[in-house]
Amino acid sequence: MTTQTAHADDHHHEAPKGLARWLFTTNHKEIGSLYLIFSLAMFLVGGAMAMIIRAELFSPGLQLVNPEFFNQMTTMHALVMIFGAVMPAFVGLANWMVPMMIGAPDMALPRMNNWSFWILPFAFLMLLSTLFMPSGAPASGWTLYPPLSLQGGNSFAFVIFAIHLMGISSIMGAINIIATILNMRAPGMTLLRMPLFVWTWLITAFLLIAVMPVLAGAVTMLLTDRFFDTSFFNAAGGGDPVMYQHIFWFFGHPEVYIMILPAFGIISEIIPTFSRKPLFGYTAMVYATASIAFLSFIVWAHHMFTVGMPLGASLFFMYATMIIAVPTGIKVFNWVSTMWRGSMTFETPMLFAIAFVILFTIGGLSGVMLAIVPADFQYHDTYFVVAHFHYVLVTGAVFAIMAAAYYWLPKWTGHMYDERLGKIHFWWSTISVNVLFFPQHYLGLAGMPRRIPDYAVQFAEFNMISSIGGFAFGLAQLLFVYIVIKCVRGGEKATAQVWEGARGLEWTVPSPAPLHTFDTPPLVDDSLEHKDRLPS
Amino acid sequence: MKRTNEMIVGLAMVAVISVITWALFAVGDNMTPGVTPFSKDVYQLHMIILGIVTVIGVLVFAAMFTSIYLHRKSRGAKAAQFTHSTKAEVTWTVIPILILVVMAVPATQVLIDMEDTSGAELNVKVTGYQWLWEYEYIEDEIQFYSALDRDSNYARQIGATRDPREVENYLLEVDKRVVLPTDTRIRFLLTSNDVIHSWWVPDLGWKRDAIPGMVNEAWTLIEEPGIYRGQCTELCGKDHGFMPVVIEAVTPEEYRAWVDSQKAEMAANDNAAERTWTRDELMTLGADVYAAQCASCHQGDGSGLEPAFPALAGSAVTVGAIEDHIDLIMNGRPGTAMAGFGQRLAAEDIAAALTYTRNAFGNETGDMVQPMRILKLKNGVVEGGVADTGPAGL
Amino acid sequence: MARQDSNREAPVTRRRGARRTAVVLAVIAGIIYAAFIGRGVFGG
Ligand SMILES: [Cu+2]
Ligand SMILES: [Cu+2]
Repeated sequence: MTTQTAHADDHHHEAPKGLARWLFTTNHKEIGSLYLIFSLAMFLVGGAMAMIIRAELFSPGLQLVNPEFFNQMTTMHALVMIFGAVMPAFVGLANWMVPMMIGAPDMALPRMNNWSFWILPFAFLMLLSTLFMPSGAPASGWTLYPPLSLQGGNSFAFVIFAIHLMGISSIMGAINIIATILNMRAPGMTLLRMPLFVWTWLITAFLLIAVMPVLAGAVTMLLTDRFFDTSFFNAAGGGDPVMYQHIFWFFGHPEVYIMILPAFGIISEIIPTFSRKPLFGYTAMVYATASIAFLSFIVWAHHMFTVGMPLGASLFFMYATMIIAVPTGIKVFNWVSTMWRGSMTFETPMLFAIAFVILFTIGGLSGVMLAIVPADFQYHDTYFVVAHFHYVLVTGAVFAIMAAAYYWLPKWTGHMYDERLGKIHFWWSTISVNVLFFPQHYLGLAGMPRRIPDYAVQFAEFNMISSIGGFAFGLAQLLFVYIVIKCVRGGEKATAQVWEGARGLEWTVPSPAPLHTFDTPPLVDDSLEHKDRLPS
Repeated sequence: MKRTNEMIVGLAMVAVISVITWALFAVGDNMTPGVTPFSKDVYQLHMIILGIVTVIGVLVFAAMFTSIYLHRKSRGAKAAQFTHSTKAEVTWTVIPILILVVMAVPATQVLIDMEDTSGAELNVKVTGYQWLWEYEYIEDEIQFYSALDRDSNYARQIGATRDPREVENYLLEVDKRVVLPTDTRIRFLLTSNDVIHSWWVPDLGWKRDAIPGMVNEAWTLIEEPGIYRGQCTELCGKDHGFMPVVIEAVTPEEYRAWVDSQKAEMAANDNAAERTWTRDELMTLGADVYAAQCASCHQGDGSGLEPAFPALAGSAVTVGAIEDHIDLIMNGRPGTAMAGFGQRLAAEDIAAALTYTRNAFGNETGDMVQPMRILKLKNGVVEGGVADTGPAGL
Repeated sequence: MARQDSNREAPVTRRRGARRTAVVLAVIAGIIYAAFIGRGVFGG
């Protein structure tokens, strides 16, 4: 009876509550939260797989898992981390922040937004379920090179269907972000007044639309080769296994930038805030991002220098790859210049941002080394490559996501996170991640191939050090989970601006940001440009 | 005042970061200079680039830490408000381009040299299999397979009683090494019989993929006699980590002697299949063949790894009709990982393996397969043109 | 006070042109997919 009375007062139609509310939500902030929670869960799943890998590699000999399962772990670790952790985290951040940063009331296509998210849990349920199938999870590496990938059992069909679903989710998410940015900016929010995070995401979304269909095409052909007797990639039937690699990496290299451009955007938000100084070279940053995106389409074969390409092709891909260092260098120099003569403080987001600049640069520099074809004949498919892309993806992309989480948590929850714990998390992560990945450079140079479950005895010491670093880094992330939960539950009340140096529309709304913001469009003028002043 | 401050702190930062960088180089391993002209070029190239990127890194990080030290709020720093500087931005666009050109020139030269595979004095065809290598010396007409050696193979099993640390050259030793002459321009022709592999010996300075349906070329000239070890570097399935490459480089004279001894051995083996073997002979050889060819999948005790690799102990095949068993070993089972060995192994090896698996692991069929029976089949197989498992002729 | 439910969408006037943008992008994605399968079929 009492509930009835309560409802009688409610003159709106029934809003879904509980699970249904989350299942049917079309609100960009709620969907953003769903993406972020999903991504954190997948980060832990993928991390657990990494722990198995590092435990097996702790010492020479096979102790814990057989080689087949080891290969399943390396494959699944990559698929889960790339498509389940890093990409959804960035989409979640875009969902939350892009509308608020451009003064839009929501995403342009809210019901499609709901779809893009809810496809993901099913895609990953399907992908992870292959672990329990008789023929096991995919074990041919995340690149799924044929003919090896075609040796997989029937579970392979589930893997491909899962990848298709992830692709559809990503494409829908990207379309939504582009439509939101192009069509829903507040009056006065010209393109060159947009915060850099919005810019990098706009460019990333175009990359997604251009290359996710390419991946879908490649795996569709794998599917028909495996189950319907086609011979796209099967040499015995007149197909060409190297063509798969060309198609895959035409997707794969831009994919790398899909995972790093939004990170550039995040860092370009955080460093000015804590330096209390406008971003140095805003326009150059925008053009650098665009040129990196363009170049990403003409460098794919640098992953394939050892397949035996004509000399001219090798030279072209080497030069094109080296050129990427120029716009990337501009970004790094601009971040340092933003800090220069600023008035810096070092809260956790800033610490992660600084670590990003240093460690991502290390990954970028080893990337330049890998571009040199003759040297790549030695580096290729060794732990040197493993070290390189983990510097770029873990201390790059993941550190940027961590920085973003600390930076915007007060805006999302209305509470400050525990700064002391945040700092502990930072130092613990930063030290352990280097213990984990730096020795892998040495392993690669000394001749240890990647994707092997067991190794020659001379690699034992550095593998043990790396594993110890890995366990410590894994543990540190449990602390992160605790910090986030604690912050959601309570803590010091956050102000609207949160950070003294924060500039931009998202800091003009209260903390926590109400479900609906900018119902009336804000007026944006030069006072907001480059975020040097807050509108009073 | 401010400028002098920045200079002093900046130099101190350069010093500190240089020391840390130096320490990192000192504790770690580096790329091998190798034993060929190409590997030495690659090593030099690697050192040049490493030097350049290290200097760039040290300078960027020093600038950053200088700023972190000096321009912090807690030191009372007031934020400047400059947003760009065309001069600076042009500088750090142009200088990196120049540095890249400096790197690209030697890289291009070394690559052009590598790609010229002409003038070979010796041609060796390398074929990758799951999970061993086949070598064919085109001129000298020698052919053999090279797989992980037995000691490593025992020690690498889960729950093995042997400690890998006690095995000499664990995972980097083979049952039969590739013998090559020094000071000879050798051309390699690389291909694969199943999935993509990659053939790598760091001391030669390169790796090259072995791809089914395609023949890749690469060359080398080994300057010093010695034993050089490497591994497969393209994920090729479950035993990707267990297919090493071992080269034994000897002087050209020693190489000739080795070729002669190989030919003599092959001539002796030619007749081996034609005589009648005793049960003990077959069982002894069979145990060896089983350990080298079968045990990685079907396990040393015949228990297999279900579901992909069936057990042999008491299986329908090993205790069933002998004709079916022979057919399976000779031709493999399409659509599974079971390869056909009709082309890959000698008749006596196949006969021995058959005899062994039909009597070991408690199978006790009492059957015996004579090499002569397999030899006849083998000849039939070749005439019939069923050569799908064999190396394609050049 | 504005209703705080999870399903309220932005007014159409605030997202003019978004639908057309989305359709164009979706068509582009479809064409790229078809093009790469086509490359597999005809590219040998
Ligand atoms: Cu790439
Ligand atoms: Cu291999």
